Amino acid sequence: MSEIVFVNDNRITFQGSCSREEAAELHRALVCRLNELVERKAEQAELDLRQVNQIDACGCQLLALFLEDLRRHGITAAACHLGPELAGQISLLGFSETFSVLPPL
Amino acid sequence: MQTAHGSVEQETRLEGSEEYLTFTLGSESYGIDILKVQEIRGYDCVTRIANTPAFIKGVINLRGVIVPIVDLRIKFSVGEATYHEFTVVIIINVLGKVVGIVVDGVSDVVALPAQSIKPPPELGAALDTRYITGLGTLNDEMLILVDIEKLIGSEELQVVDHSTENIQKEVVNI
Amino acid sequence: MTTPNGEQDGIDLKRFNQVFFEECAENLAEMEQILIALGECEPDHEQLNAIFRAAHSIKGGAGIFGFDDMTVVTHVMESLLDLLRNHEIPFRPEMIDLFLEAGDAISMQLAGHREGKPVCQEAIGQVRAKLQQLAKPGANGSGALQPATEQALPRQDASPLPVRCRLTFSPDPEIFHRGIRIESIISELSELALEGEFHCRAYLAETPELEDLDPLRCVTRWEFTLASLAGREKLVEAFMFVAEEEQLQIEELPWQERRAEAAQDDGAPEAVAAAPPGRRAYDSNELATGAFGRRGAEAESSIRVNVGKVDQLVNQVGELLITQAMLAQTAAGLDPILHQALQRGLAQLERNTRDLQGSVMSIRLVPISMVFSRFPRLVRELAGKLGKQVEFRTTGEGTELDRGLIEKIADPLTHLVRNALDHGLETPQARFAHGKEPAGTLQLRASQVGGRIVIDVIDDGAGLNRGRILAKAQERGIPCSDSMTDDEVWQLIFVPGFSTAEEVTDVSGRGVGMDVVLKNVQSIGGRVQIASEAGMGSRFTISLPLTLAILEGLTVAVGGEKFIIPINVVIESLQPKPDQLKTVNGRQVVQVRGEYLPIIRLHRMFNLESQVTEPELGILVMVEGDGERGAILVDALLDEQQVVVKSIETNYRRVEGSAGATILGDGRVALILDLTELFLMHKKL
Repeated sequence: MSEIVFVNDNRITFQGSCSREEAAELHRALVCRLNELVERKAEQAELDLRQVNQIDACGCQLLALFLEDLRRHGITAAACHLGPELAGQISLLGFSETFSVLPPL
Repeated sequence: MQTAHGSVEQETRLEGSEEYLTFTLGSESYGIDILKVQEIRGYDCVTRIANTPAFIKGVINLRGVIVPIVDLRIKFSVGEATYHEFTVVIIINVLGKVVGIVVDGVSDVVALPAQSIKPPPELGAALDTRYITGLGTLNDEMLILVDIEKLIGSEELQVVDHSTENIQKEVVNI
Repeated sequence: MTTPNGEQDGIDLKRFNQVFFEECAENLAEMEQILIALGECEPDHEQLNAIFRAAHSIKGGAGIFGFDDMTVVTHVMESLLDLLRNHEIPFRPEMIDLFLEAGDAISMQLAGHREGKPVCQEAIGQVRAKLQQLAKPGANGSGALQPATEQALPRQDASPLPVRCRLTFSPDPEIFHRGIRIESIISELSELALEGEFHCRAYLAETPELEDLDPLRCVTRWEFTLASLAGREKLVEAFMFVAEEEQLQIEELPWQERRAEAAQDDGAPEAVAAAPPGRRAYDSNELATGAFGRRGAEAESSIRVNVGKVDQLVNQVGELLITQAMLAQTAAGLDPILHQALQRGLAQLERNTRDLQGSVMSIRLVPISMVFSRFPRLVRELAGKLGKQVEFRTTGEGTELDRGLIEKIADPLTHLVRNALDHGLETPQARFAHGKEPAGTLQLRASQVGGRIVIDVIDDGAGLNRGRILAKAQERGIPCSDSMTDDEVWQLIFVPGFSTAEEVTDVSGRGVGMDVVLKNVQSIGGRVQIASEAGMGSRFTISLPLTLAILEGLTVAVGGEKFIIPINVVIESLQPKPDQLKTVNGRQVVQVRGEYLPIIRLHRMFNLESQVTEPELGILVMVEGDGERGAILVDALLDEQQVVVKSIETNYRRVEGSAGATILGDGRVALILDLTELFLMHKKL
């Protein structure tokens, strides 16, 4: 179950699992965040994955598309705060480049 | 680096014969291997360089490359070192260097059969025999064949820096 | 063993040789770096893998390109490394040195192929024998000679050869809907691959608006690059029930085949030289980009370009700059009101040209780590030879400088490092006696300071010995006196033929030394400074211009010729009044704000005939360089502009007093003045 917490305006925090099962819900939340960021003319955004414990190919794709959409709107975006396990999984699935993973702030 | 001798080089070479670019220095005719010639151009806009022998006229800009100009007429004390619109510079490409030489006039490109070339004499030409590879005959006239590579590379012409070469060798040996 | 040299499947691979040479050199450097970093410590699994991969890539590449001799050492090395990886034999510290030696042997072979340098077969034989010796105990007889990778996985009867391939997987868009777990396919595939030989890259084939997206629709494509013993059938099996044939493409990357051939030391028949066509069930493109080595994935973000091409680009931008200057010069004579649009366009052109030039120049910049990385090993070996203990540190490795400078700074730096080790640092005993740590420190530090790159070689050794330098100078007949300042004394070591070593060692050599260092550094527009304190150590500082190719300069006219004075040495210019001109010791000087500066008549230096022979008729350009000041007499100041530095030496020799030449807007050549030399010439007059 993934839940989106609004901590910081430009930081999108994810929790729990980002998998196929949560895809519909995750998608809704992402669309909502996207519209909000675009409306606000934000310049950058961060996907804080610190509290994500699981991700699959479907979740990766969704986040990748989200990042892509942000960039299309001129918002610089990257994932950050990945734990080693999650980073390993993302890299195994081939998404580390797409996520342009940032070192923690 | 340009290799602009295209058209001349491409001409078919006769079996067993070499092609030479002939030019005159004073009253003598000289020939150099056409393959060493990059191009022939007029003489102008030479930037003088201080503290060099008189036969080093200076450097020119050859399409962005800086090329030294050597006046062989001064070097070998033949002809008259005058510069006008007909003064010709032969651009030579040897030893990885591009060098321009000023001569009295460029005559022709000729093919000489190898067997018609005689060994160089001991004396006679303005040019030191060390740089002469042989003598050819052309229309009953003597043609002095010059080893242009040896001449350009020679210490007396001072085009190639022999002293820095030594320094580089030393560095390797340290 | 006979192999068609550089030819495979009728494709001439010679043009790829260069790529192999470069990669091989990189692999060797990487291997050496790891080994040096290890010191005497046992490498961890990661490091062993990295060394193994380097050896393995070299061997593989050497195999494909037909440099079979290079596979010999790498092969045995690989075997030994593999035994280590699998803990079949224990690590021993001497292995590090042996691996380093092996690296040298391979370097020698590389140089043999690349530059036609002689290769000492005996040395190679020795290294090989030593490696085999170490591989023996603990290994089961001939086991050490088996191709390493075959041991890594259980052997199969068919004696499988590792296959290197790229799989492209374009799944059915419905795949997430169907509940298929792609992750497990990927992880299965990764397990089939050899360790460290699996790379996966996902990319989005289309990027629909997030809002309109069906979150379970798969738009991702995957690309896997892997080496595996499993054979393509096994690889395809991983995708069973998931992929239709057309969704999966396998390209076999060629090098494993030849690698295997090379591994069969006894000249097995050419049977495996080319894969049977039947094995290529899918599209197979062996010459696809990225097919060489493991650079496939990296190729996306960086490309390998021949330096010649970059230099060509730099030259062309230089030409453009000249053309632009020429246009500007022509347009300057036009009525600005009538040609407003033209002027605007030209201004824009100038900006664009400069931007372009900046970008192009930045391509040539490389980090100084390219030079620094050679030192850890040098220091380690030398310190061992000299019986000294050294802690070696480098900082600022990321400092970037022009590639041309990097190549030319390596020798002088090496010399300074050797000197510091040999003459600077004391033996542990001597250090101890002086109350210092037995281990000395040697630091290499690079940084950018203003428009220059500064490289320091710092040691905490004994420092330069003033007394000994003076005595030596006297002995050699070099003019000197006890009243000289320290700085002046230090300069004595740059005089040709000077050496202060008590005994000539094979480390610092004899005589030729600091003078050559200085000459080499000066030849690239650099300077060397020395700071030293007895008992505390010394610091040699090399400072270099950022780039050799472009220079901001002041154009001046002297007797019909033009010269460029680098703007960074110019303080000001003035028309002297008669009362400012004085004569000191028969030399004319100009008094500027209480300071007397020698007047350097440029026309005299360069033997030019000029109308302006006296300072009051012309202009004096005040300059400062190397802590010295002077006033250069010129006929007139022309303008200030960026010039492209061209070498005169390419086709001619060094010209005294000049640091190169440039081509002006009118197409003529102008010399760029070298202040240091000019001062020297002036003193000699």
